[in-house]
Amino acid sequence: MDGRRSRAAGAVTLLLLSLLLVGSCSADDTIQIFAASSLQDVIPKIIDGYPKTGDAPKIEIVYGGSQTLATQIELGAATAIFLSANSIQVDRLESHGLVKERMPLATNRLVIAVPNDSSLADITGLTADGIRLAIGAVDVPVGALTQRVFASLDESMQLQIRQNVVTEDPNVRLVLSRVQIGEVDAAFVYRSDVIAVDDLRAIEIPIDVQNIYTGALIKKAPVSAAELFAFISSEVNSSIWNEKGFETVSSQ
Amino acid sequence: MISSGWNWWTILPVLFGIFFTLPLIGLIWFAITDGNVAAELGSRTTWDALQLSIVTATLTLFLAVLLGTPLAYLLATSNTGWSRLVATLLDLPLVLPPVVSGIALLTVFGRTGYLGGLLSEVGVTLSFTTAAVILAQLFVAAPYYIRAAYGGFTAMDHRFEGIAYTLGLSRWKTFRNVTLPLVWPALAGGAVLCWARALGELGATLLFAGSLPGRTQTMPLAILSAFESTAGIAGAVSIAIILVVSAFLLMVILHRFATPSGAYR
Repeated sequence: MDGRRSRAAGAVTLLLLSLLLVGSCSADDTIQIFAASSLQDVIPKIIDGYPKTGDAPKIEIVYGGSQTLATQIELGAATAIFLSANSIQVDRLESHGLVKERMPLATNRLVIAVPNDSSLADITGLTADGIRLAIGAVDVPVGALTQRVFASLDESMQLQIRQNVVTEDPNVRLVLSRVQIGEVDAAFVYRSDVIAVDDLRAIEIPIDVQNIYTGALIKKAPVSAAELFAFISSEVNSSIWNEKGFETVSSQ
Repeated sequence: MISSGWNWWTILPVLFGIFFTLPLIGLIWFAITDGNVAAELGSRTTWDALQLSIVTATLTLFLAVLLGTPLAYLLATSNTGWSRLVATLLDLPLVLPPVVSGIALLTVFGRTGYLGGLLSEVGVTLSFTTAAVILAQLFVAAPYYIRAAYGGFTAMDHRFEGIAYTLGLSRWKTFRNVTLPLVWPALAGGAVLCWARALGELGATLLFAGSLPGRTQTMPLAILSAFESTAGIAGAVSIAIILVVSAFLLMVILHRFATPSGAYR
């Protein structure tokens, strides 16, 4: 290939590469929120009620397991607000000096999700042979909560239930999907998750453990994000939280 | 290509090559400086995951070779339209995102799946077992081996086999002494790809087999779990390095077997 054509080929390649770079730069006035997957039904509704003026910034929400999101923030993700399913993940970010402000948002109760037509009635039913259970992995907030529940059961029941666990999944919606498609007989999820779907019912757990959903405003967040954060954590949204199955915590 | 000094055609490939080596070097450097490989080497979870990964990937390879070689041979030697269609279908798992492969496996072999439902009537459940890990790996990785074997069997000159038959060799003896040495490089290359792909599988096993330490938590799942835990990226990299080194050592051994030892080169 002669000099002219190889220069042209090189120029085209450079152009394509630079398009790649330009495409990956995000808009400056977008506020990015990282939210726990169990908040998928609550946060959009809350954001809908946020009074927006003409030049209001765009709001972008990314859902995931709180522990996954916290890791990404530690590694430098340009997020303004982090809505975690427990306080541990916010503590983690605080210890790295990444939190400007934090607020408890609501609490969520752990329940056992079973199909509507299941014959299971209470937690003792989970000790039976051949029952298959899905729980969250130990670092996922719902998984950590499940471990607390297990730890407060008596030893033989704890052992029998643990033997029936077939999977420890990385986020709560995956755990929920297992029982929805009938692969497991029961799953330990949040009450809000069961309320969000039609085909499951919740078995209450007689142990009082809850996760405290905690919001954090990340350092270096723009001023518009601080206003949004104040709105999300304000009491005016309590009815939305309650409607979706959460219990609200009165602010300190 | 005749060397013509530095121009776009020599610089760009070099940059591309650097693009591939940098992340691996970064991983190794990170493990040495910020990792805690020694701690992870002593961890029960890591050893369980490593053992599970290597055992399942090897069993997957074994099944892929045992069942895939005759299949590839049949497809390569029959010239009907059916065989070409089947050959294309076998490439589909390569196109599917691994998570989709996992979901597809669930719809058929899951507890309430089309076939799985029948199996659970007789008490056999496949999902969430170590067997499920192997099935998921087989689905995503076997096509790599079958493609390579198919390529080898298509490209060889089948007249040699004809000659062997006329000289009185049985089908099996012909396959072993005539066909195999001719296609060995293709089979070996496909086997290495298949094993490596099976070892690195994440999405399909997570969906179909779940993740339970000791039973179904493979190395990729253990690495992901470490990444998301308080051990963070340091923990993940440390476990990842153990996987990389183990895989590298085993691949070196596999490559030793791959060098043709037959009379025909």
